[in-house]
Amino acid sequence: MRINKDLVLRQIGNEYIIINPNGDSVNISNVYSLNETAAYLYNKLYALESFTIEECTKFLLCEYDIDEDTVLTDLKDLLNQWKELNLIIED
Amino acid sequence: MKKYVKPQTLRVDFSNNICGGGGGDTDHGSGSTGNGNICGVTTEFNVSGKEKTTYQFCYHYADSNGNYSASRGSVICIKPGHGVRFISQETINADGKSYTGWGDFKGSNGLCHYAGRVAIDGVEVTRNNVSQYACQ
Repeated sequence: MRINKDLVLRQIGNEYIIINPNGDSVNISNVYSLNETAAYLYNKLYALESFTIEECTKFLLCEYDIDEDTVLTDLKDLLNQWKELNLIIED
Repeated sequence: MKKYVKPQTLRVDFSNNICGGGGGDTDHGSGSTGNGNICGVTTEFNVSGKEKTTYQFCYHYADSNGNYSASRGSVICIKPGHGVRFISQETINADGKSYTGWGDFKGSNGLCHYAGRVAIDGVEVTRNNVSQYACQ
């Protein structure tokens, strides 16, 4: 998997949103809001050429006080959603 | 270690959360599409102005002391299709009155002013970048 780098994450105040900055206008039907945990992970993954769910798990376990089973369950949901939203691409 | 919160992603739906600025003012015409109610942080401000192809609203930014001053108000033009997000409400003083909220009003210099922090296409408008969005 890899992050769709046509999109960018921006922080506005305490909020994190993903937009497509290309072109003369932004398609406002494709703007996404991330909570802090999701934004943290997104930024980590953005720096990588590609990633696995195991790497995602490590990032979260290193940063947050949480058990591995919970992280794995949440990550499956999150990554599936990101695929559907085209935020990540599965090679 | 930080406290864990389940990572979540929400699609921002501007189309169902459009609000106007209280019916429009003398500067921007009466093209407000909403009812003037305060909307949430995810909002497109959709007002037809003098230039019908341009969404307009006014942004009011703070001076160096963090105070909001009517004299520093800027009118910002936004092309259709661009995303506008309201971040927080602020209180400003103009015309001898104090204004708090998202509604626009007619300021002493004839322009409307806007009490609040906003972002356009994901970038918060500040004194440093306001010129990029100012009406030509």
